[in-house]
Amino acid sequence: MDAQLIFANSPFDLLTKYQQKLFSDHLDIVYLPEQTHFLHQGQSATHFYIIIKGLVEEYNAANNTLYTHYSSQDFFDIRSQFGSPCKHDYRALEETLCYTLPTDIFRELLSTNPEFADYFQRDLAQKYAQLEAREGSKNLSEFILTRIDDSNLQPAVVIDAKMSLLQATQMMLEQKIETLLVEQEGVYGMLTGTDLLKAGILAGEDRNSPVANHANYGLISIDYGDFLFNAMLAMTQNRIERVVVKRGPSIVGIIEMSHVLSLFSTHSHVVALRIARAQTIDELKTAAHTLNNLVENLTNNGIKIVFIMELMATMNGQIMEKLFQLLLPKAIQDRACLMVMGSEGRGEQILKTDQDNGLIIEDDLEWPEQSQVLTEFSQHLLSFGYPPCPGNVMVSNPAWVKSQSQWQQQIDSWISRGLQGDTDSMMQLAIINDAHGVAGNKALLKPIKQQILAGCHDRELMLSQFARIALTFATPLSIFGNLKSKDAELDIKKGGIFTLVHGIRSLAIEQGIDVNNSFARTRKLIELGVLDPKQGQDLQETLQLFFWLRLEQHITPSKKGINLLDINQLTPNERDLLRHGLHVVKKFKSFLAHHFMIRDY
Amino acid sequence: MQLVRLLRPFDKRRAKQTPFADMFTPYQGDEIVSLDCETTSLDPKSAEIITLAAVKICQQKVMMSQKLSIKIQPKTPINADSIPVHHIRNQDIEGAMSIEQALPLILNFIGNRPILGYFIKFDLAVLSRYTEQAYGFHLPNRPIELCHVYYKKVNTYYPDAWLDHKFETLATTLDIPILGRHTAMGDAITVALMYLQLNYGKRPSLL
Repeated sequence: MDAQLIFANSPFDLLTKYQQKLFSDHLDIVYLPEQTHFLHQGQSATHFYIIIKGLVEEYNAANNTLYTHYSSQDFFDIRSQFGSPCKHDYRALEETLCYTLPTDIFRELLSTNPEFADYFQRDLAQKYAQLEAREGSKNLSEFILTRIDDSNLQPAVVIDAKMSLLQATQMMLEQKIETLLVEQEGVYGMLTGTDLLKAGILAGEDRNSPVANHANYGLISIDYGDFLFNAMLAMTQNRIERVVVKRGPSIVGIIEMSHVLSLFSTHSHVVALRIARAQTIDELKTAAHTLNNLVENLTNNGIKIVFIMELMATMNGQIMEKLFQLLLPKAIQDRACLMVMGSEGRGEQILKTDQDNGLIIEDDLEWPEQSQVLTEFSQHLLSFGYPPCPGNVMVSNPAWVKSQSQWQQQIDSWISRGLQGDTDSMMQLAIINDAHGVAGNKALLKPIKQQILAGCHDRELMLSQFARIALTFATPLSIFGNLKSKDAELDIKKGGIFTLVHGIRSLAIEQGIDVNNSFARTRKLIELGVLDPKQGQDLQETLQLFFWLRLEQHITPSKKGINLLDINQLTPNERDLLRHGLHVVKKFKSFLAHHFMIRDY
Repeated sequence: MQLVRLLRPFDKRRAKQTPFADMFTPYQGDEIVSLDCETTSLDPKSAEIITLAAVKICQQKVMMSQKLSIKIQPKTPINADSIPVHHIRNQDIEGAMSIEQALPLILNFIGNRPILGYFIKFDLAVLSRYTEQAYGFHLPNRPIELCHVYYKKVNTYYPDAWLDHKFETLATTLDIPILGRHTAMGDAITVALMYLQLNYGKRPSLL
């Protein structure tokens, strides 16, 4: 393999001419005789290896476990390129020739070429290494992955609750800070300049009276070392301007929205602000239409799909909530709960896909205009760019608007029909099991979800019937046999996403896990020991990959439905990943069949 | 070549007048240089270098990141017979540097390191002809002939075997990928890899 030949293959074909030159200028060839043990566990890597010829084994010398083999054109060790020591040992099983590239150069290429970096990011096994790669914030993806540390924290100044308003004001002016933390018998509250103004001017308090009564005590906190992005999400979700940062039990600082905003170059918060400030439905509509651009922007900048999904779930939720507030009479709002279901409910929405929503109203609520207002609601969402649900799971459909007791009856009947093997009822249960309250009195949803869990949890037959649906669609692995056919397309939803999502959902119900997001569910399942960590991680990676592929194909203009992947548009590397992912799906299916004792599979 | 060795004390004295006196001190390090030239003909008395490539070998590593690859404009046009071999046309080397400009680069790169090559005597003879003209000395570097290394390694095991020393045969027997035959750089690297295999690897099997 000539050095030039490297660049014919992915991911190295992503390098520009200049980067290729940099790459080949620093390339050496190393000769490894048979049985050379050349990388040791715990040593820090100096080179990135590409095999020209030969066979290398990754193993653990201490207990002689074998991990994987690398042969011609494979490369390793990606993990240790990001500063962490080698996780395993490497030896040449036969005489091996490798190109070696110094780690610094490799990192330089990653930081200057986001697409190239992205390849290693998406490589299924290497996700965690990539997370460690946040060195220097050169591009946006690294920028958004910034973690909360001393460099972006503002110090927390703690004062005693007995301090007077006057002293507190003086302190703020002297230290040039906006916010003070007030301690009252071990409980912390936040006191801002605005609070002081309200106390002094509006309430007309004496300036020597204590600050205790004017601070806000329900503090939202975030952990030191968490992503800055999460701090922003927390603020956006709670519509606040500041969060406190905790390290363990103690408060170490404050993060302000204005400060985070100055760090982020995207418009996500700007969009959020527009949603929050919209006074009319038209204003809301404009804001809603900017969302797709935002997603495209974030994707092109290499932001990880999970973050995009989290952001989109928040944004979509806020749009619905705002519309709910603008459209429904105030008296109704507090006595009804708007829930979103399906992917939206699980927080896995990357685009504005179907409206999947329903309404729970209090038992004794009189509301004559109900159907008219709700039809209007659905129509407005349609004009915002949310297509109607093909299954008609929408508030405009009276079947999805019920009082609390009606819902309870409905669920009981679904469960009993499901037990008799009625697939439709099972699907309805699956849909409502993922419900997430977005507006109104969210407490109304809780008893309903508990009812589902109680009805299915520990009922093996029921669960087995429920999980069986995940096995309905064949995994489209065989289609790769004739990849060359022109209209080769693959339904990624049926072929992969649905199986994973529903399988994970079934396991979650079985274990009584009360979270909606598939990734969060998987993590819980790993914690509970239902999935082994490797399998769980594979599932998460695969799901991420599927979402990513779907998103990418949707952004590049295509005439096909969102779930149809055009195989010919995929790069060989993506096809490879897809194949790998579908294998994970296949394995998961047999795991499910075994776990739920499903026959005839 | 025997004659060159006898004249070495004179060479050394003449080299003192040039910047290359260090080439005559014995080499102590563990590097060698793999070198290959493409030339206008196969006669060492008149062949002119068109391209020259050299790459350092340090222990078990071919230091491709430290390589020398130059094109040289010959005084006479390239022989039409040799163009099909090395694929370098006259127009390809237009504007290349002259041998006088190239020599200091070459000498500085190889220094006093041993020089490895395939039929290296030819390359050294051509180079020495140039250094003789320019500085009055022949290259003193210890030559390492790949064919000899191969012969030594294989012959002790198969004493009666008739050994085919064709470049391609060597590469196939040693199971080394050929990285671009008849480009100076490709040959230099392939030779380096074969050398490493012979020095550190298993004895090749002729069967």
